[in-house]
Amino acid sequence: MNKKSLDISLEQKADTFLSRIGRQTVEAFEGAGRLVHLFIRTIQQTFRPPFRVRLTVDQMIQIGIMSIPIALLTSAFTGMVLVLQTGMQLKPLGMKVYASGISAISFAREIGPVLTSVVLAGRVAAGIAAEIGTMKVTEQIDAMKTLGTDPVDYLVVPRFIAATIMFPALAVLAIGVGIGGGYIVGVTVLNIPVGQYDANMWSFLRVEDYLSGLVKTIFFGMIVAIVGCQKGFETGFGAQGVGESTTSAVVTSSILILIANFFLTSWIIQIIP
Amino acid sequence: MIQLKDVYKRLGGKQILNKACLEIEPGETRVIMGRSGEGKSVLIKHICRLMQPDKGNVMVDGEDISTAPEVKLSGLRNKVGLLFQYAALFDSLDVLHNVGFTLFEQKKPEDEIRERVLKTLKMVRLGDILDKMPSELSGGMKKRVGLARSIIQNPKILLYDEPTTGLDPVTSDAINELINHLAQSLNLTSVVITHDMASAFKIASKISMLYQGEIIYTGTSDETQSTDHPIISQFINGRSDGPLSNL
Repeated sequence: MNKKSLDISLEQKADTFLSRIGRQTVEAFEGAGRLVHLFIRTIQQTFRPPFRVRLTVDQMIQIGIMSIPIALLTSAFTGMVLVLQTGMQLKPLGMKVYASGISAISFAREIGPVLTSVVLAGRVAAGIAAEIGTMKVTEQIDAMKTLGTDPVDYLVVPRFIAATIMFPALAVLAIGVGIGGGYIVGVTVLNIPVGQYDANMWSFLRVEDYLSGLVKTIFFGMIVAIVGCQKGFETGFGAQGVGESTTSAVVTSSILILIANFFLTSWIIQIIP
Repeated sequence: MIQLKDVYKRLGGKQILNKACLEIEPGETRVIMGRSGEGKSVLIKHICRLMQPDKGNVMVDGEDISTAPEVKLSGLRNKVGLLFQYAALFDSLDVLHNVGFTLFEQKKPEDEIRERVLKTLKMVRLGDILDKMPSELSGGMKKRVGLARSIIQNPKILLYDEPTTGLDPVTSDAINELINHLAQSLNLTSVVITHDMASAFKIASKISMLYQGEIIYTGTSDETQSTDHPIISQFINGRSDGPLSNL
């Protein structure tokens, strides 16, 4: 290959590489713009009649009640592991009793809310995206529009309200169960006396810690509902399209939860140190 | 009256409608034919404002719906019904809630809704299947339920997107009879997309051909059957050789 054709080839590769980065950047911003647009429309619709109580309650059952087993199971075992690890690290220092307080505070402030929300993102965002995506590919969304009903009002708002209420509710349970799981491990495996475990935990843990974690799950619920719905509406063609939007909903909502967690924590920590 | 004036629409990098013009008189049943992927569904989606043109105007009863804001479209939604290719029934709702969807949205009393749904189901020649879910219905029944849902608000215009696709010949003929019956009894203006030439000749007042984004031909059923227009002739006779094969 002579120098000139090598230069052209490299130029084309660079062009393809740069144009791909450029295209993906533009697509990422467009996607973010559509999410924000849907979020604003949803907020507006949430406070306008008709108020769809039955649909909202159905979604609260679907998103909240049906997620109880998975949320509690993951929290219980994570709480157990957390106390076990912390206790084992502190044991050589003769401070294993502090495992209860340290674990409880980290579970209430961070691990409980974030873990519960990420686990729920997998179940809820995937479910919402698959349901709305299937409606999109079978033209049910278009049918709804021709019948004069706004799909944002009928499909998004009930899911948005349900997720916003049920995520904190599930987090309350999950944090409690996680701390309870840690308690069992602390007392039975690490052999920390019950009285000492209790006293140490309550000397660290305050109601504000619980609250600071729960406030975040309100926003995580909103993120999961909006991302799930948006990905559902953007579903391409056929079963493959539904599969892609479902995967994308889970990945996007999980990433957004982790990013939002940093900013929310930075904000909340100013108010509740 | 429905009018499309110089409508352009580009989707996925392809020019789907390219200066499409169409005029449909009140009470007419217009069949629009064309090859698969030619843009027929896109065309009727402009008439019910599921899509907006990139350029051009869509007039329904003298009102330009192509640019009207969404909030002003409630009149259009009541005026125009659409039967989707696969009926597009809401699969989480039973027949009562599918057909009576708009009435439930308007918070009408359930007894009244039940009565109107039963009456509308009778019009499409179905009995009391109010409690059935869409998954329990045959293809022909789904189309009829979809049709009932489209006419329950007494629209003036009914759009049909391939109403006989996927149905056996006997059921297809029954759907054709139903289209004719509804057009006459409700004095509907109908726009029907179909590839099924037997259906087209049975129901059409006029037939139009969409080709390369433009309406290139309009004629009555008789004129269409005897035309020597090479594209129309090839299409209605289902020949593989001819100008359409060069695409």
